[in-house]
Amino acid sequence: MIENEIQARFDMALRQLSLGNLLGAVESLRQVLSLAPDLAEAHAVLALTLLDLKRLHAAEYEAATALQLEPESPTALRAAGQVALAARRFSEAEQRFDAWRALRPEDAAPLQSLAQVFSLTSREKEVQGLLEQARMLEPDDPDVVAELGDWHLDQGDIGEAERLALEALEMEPQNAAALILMGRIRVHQDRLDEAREHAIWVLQEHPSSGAALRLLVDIKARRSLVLGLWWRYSAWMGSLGEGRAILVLLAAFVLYRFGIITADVYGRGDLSELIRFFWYGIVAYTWIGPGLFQRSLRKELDAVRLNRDF
Amino acid sequence: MSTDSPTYRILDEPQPSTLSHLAVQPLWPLLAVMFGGTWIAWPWFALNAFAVGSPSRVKELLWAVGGFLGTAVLTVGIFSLYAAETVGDVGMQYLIVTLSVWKLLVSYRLYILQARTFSLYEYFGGTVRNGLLVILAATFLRPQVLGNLPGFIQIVLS
Repeated sequence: MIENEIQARFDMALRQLSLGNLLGAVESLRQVLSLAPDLAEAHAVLALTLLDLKRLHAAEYEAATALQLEPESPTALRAAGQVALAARRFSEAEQRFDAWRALRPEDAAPLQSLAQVFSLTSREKEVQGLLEQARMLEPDDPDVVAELGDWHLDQGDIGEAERLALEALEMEPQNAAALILMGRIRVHQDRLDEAREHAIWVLQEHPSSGAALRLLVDIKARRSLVLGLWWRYSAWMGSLGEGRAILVLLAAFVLYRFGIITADVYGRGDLSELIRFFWYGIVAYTWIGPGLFQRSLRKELDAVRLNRDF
Repeated sequence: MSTDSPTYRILDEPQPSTLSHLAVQPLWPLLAVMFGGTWIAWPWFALNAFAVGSPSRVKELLWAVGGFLGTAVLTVGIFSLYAAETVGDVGMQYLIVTLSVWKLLVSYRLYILQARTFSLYEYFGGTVRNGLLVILAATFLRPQVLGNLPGFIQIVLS
């Protein structure tokens, strides 16, 4: 009886995840774990969900619990690997994905995850090899084909990327990964209206798709210099991580203060005023920028109508 | 076990607190650093950590206490160098910047630690107060609070 309830709630969590309802999935998994605290699979799925919600610390704890409960669970290894990847512990991530691959040699997913690690550690040749292997294992999977296309696009081979995007779309015309890839290709070709349409198509079926939102934001950033600058600045700061971002901000503050002191010491009050003016400009821009950017993006998203089948 | 009342608690989620009626957005204590000084901002950060039931509240408290200790050590170090004439008036202007950098570092660190928990606290329907009155009070009380203190203490608390 209780096993049925646990299974039903776990299935509900998986369904919520497939629809992009991450917060709902967390609540369902919480209920599952209240009933079955030692269910490694639920801890692992919760870790992956929390990771999507950028709750890295909690995801790390859940992945470790899942591995402790069931060290040979493919989902636990996947979760532990993804968490390590997010924390930029690349060798640990590689080790986890390798273990996952050993348990599931017939699956393409561990190879795709390993490719992510190699891509982040600039081992491009190996990335290609892994993605080709993944394609051999699952030749009819449009996600795998689209990922290979993404790799070609990142290498600047737009022709091959477009060929693979078309191939993936032929397999599944509404495939999100293939539509995003095609959208990214259109951005590279400076066909921004078409790129926007691809992002909107994906959002109609997957309203919380991070990749579609990123594509939309990329298009917005290219259309407006002011917002584009903000986007690039915040993306760069985000890529540094919180600790390093604080150090960059503090270094900027030190430069600003030292600039003013030096200008004053050499009797250059005009230069000192100029530095102050420039600094306050940056402060105002970084204060207003996020609000403007979000308003512009929200306006865009208001135009998205969900598919009837959603 | 009733399935209607989930009991599993995720590690980073806030815990119930008897001080929750005092919880504010962590942005307010951050602004208090600029308008009032660390004398109001860092204790406020620490209080807020307990008010929102932050799982990292002890760490936040230690950052606040460490902030004051670090400022005191830096102040003693800088003025010892000046007293020993190792640095002159111009050098002092540059060295004083390290105090601001240290205070900003501690404040940002506290803000980031608390902002994570705060978004979950809000998500679970926790009550949030407006901190504007405290900021205004801190701004007007600053001269009275710091004005009569010895110079060293003023530097540490400003």
